[in-house]
Amino acid sequence: MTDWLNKMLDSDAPAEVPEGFAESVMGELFASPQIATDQPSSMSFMKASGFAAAAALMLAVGIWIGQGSKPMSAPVDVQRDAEMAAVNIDSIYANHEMLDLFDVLEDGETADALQTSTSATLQDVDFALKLLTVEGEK
Amino acid sequence: MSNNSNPDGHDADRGVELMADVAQGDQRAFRLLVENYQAMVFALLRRILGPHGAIEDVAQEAFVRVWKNREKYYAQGKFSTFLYRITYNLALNRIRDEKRKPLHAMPKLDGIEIVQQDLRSDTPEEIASRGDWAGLISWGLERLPHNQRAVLVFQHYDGFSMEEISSVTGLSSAAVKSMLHRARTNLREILQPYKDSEND
Repeated sequence: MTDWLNKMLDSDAPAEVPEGFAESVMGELFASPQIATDQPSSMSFMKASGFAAAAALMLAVGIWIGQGSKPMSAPVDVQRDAEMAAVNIDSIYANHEMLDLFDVLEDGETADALQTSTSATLQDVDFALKLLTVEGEK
Repeated sequence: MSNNSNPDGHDADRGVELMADVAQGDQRAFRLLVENYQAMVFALLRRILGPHGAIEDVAQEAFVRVWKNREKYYAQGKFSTFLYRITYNLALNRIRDEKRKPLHAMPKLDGIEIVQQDLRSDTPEEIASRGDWAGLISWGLERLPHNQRAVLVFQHYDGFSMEEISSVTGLSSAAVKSMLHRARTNLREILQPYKDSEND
């Protein structure tokens, strides 16, 4: 059916694509791409780094306090230091505030875990002391 | 006779092949896909949204959607049909959003709303007097309801079958057929006066 309407319709030329359109699409998707796509994994890395830093810091502070500021290489006398360690275990967790300042405890679960840990049982303290002993013997 | 700008025309389906790589995250394949299909998308959008519509924005959004949904794509038919479906739906969204906006957000003077004329558009008489048939068609298509406009564009310019139009628009084949008939009848009526003056 080639009536006047079809002829008119055929006279409509295809649209012109603006120059650089493909680049603009690619730019929209990939210009700051890795920021957008990798953000979750980057956050996970940050989180993992935070945990690692917190753990390392707590371990170091724990060892240092547990040994009563003695040289790190000196052996630990569990019997003698037990009382001091039991008292100071709370001050380890008091450092929670300091860790917060370093933004390493953003995660709620970690904070909760630390809160729970401040009401440690005697078994927990005993376990901590054993850990300190092992560390001290190294 | 139609101006078939469909890149699937003589290829088996270049789009499907490229999408297989795009689905794996191949950015080079995606760029080729954009380059192969951008003309088709622009042609559709200009006819659906009109020459003053946000063609580039919607075209970009269509390709961005293709990339973001690349893993969900599976070759069920022609790639162009898939891309048309995305583009057409985005165009409909844009038309709907434009309708929701106040057409001319002009202040009222003493309660009388100032009607602002669309300065971008020529009158059909002016277009016809220049012998600009393409301009008249563009003007006439804008006067059709969007679904009639779409089925006519798909059939005439893209050479789509009833089933393909049905697949893109979500309408039944019977509805497509009826809408196509109405679109042609209405467009003929809209353009008749200017077509006659053109021949004078």
